[in-house]
Amino acid sequence: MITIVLSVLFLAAFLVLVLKRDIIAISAIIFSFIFFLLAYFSPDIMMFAFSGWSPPFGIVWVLDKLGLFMAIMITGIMSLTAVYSVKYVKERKHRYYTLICLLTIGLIGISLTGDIFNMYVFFELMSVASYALVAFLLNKESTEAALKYLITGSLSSSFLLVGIAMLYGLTGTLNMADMALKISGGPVFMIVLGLILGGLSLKSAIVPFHFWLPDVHPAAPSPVSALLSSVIIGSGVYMTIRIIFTVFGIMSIFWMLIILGLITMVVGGLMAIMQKDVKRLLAYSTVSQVGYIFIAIGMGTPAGVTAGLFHLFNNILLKCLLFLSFGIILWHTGTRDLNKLGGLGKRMPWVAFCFGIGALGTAGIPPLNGFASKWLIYLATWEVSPIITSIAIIVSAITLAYYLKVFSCIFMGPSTFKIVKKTPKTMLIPIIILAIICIIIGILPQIGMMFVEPATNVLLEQGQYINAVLGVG
Amino acid sequence: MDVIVKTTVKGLFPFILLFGVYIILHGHLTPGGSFPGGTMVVVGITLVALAFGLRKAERIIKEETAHIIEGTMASFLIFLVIFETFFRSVLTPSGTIFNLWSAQQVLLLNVFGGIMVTMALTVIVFLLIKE
Amino acid sequence: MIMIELYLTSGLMMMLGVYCVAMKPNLIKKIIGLAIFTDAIHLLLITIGSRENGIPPIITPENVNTFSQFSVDPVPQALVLTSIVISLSITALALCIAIIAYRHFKTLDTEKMSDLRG
Repeated sequence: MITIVLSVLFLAAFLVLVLKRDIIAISAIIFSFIFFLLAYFSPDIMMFAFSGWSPPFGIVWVLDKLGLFMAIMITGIMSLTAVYSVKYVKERKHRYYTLICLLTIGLIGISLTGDIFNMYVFFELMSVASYALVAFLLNKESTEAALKYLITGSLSSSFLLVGIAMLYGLTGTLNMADMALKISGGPVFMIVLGLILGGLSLKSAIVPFHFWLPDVHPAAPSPVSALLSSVIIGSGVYMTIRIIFTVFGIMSIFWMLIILGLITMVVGGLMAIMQKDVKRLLAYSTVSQVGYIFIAIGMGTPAGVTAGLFHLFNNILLKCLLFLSFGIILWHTGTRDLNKLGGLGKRMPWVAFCFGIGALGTAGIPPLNGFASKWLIYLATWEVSPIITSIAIIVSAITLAYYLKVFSCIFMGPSTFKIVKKTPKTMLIPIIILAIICIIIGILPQIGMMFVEPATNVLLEQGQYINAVLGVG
Repeated sequence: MDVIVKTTVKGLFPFILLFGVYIILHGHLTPGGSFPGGTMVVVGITLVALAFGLRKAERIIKEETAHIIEGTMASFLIFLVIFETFFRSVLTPSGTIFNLWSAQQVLLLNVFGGIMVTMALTVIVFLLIKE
Repeated sequence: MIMIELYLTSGLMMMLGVYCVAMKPNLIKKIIGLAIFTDAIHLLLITIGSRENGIPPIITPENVNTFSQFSVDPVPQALVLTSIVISLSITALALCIAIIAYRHFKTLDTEKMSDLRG
């Protein structure tokens, strides 16, 4: 069954290049979203062995709740962005849609696979598609940002490959469940974990390796920035969580994650205050939110991991909302500088509403989903050490400060622009859908927890995962 | 390019093509398969493009044609994958081991993949030579 | 341990690759350094799966019975094939973007290309 979805997406990627119709790509992504949504509601872990080779020898795809949850989020966000970019991207549209289809395939492959080298291959597919998408506009800053991202990104994924090579040499298998049985504690495994984390930290935007994010975001077209900040960072965090919890088991590296998360939060927040370019500010805000996720996951307790996953979910939604609504403003005015923008709230009330929802949600204001996940993070970290909670609350206040600055600079005050074009409906509808989802999850967080709690169970119950993969097949 | 290079390339080009096709076709028996075999064929085409100039190389295959063939070959590959999950060994029989016709669909996959890799790399090489 | 010279070569090449990416200001040299780094990892992968006095992992009608005692591990060789394809596509993409960057900046020196700051 899974081959049908993959084949449809691959076919769409190539056919849209040959036939030059964009609707093929958009319908393929929406079809895969519906497929994963239907596959989520089946009772237990499904497994798909390619070509009939059973698990320790062949590649298996494991459709457990965490992977399906990520796949639903990814295809949902990609379909909204694909609809949004019908009017946004003007030239060479068919190549853009091919790259979007390849990006979707890479992201789905990372979420659903149970084999570590397969995950690396799809990770590289996603990375190459994102390098090409960042350089899409081919002007001066796009090429510089794309080169910086490309060279550092492929260097760091090569470190990931060194880690995977050493893991294969130490355990003799590539299947993640089989590897989990053969890994014991020992200094060699700590070295391997260090290499893997060092390689994955660039894609997850952890602080010593976050430097590509603020340069890449202004240079890429707006839907691509939205995808980079929400889904690609999300898949980097997913890969880190999957390798640490499922392959290595609960080992005592958690203080390292907490310290990295703290530094990331604080640096992201402080650098965001002094930015004049809105997209760089939103990029540093993404760095800060990833710090929150790592603090929560570093706790190791079920409450902490639930809070971290819920915050990842909310971050994907909110960042996509923020970047897409800012993309509408950029489409109308053509500038990203805070000094030049002003007073657009009267002319574009819907965009102001959606951007406001995104800003308040990220800062953690009550009736929105950001508040629910941040409250869970405060509760989870309070048990371990109150200092972490106080630093998290201070950074939350800093977040509110710079979002208020951005919102008032863009939308209030005297108007400096004449808006002559009408905002197309295909650009407004995705952000309104995202804003409504954010408000609904904020008022009824049980809907979000309904998805997050089975995912946490998969992560923490390592034995169940191993039995499902190796016992059946 | 001078006479020695042109004569050498004129003499070597059919053999490079033959060797590349051999690697593609015997992918299930010896090391190789679609990707190394496709690269060998592209090496031959690149040699012609470097020695004789881009116009002579374009007489072998044009860039737009290569683009279209690559897209269709990729689609054929995917159709073959879907087809083979439902009906096994309909198109090519599974014969005796160590024979050329032994593997069922690996042969067709290698051929389609080889043509696809050739066309894709030819497009890249022509674009880079044009600069 | 066996074949330590191959592991040492791989480690030296990795260091050389990272040095080229980090310290050389020319863009083409950085891309070459990246290729050296990935090739070092391929060498490491193949050495992990190799064996003293091993034969290549090809089954011929003569050695069907004694194959698993003497041959080297074919799995890392398959991993290296996949990785070569990936690194080829990254190098091709990097070179294409470098050509376009040269048209905009008129230089290949990365220290002069740093416009984005902050």
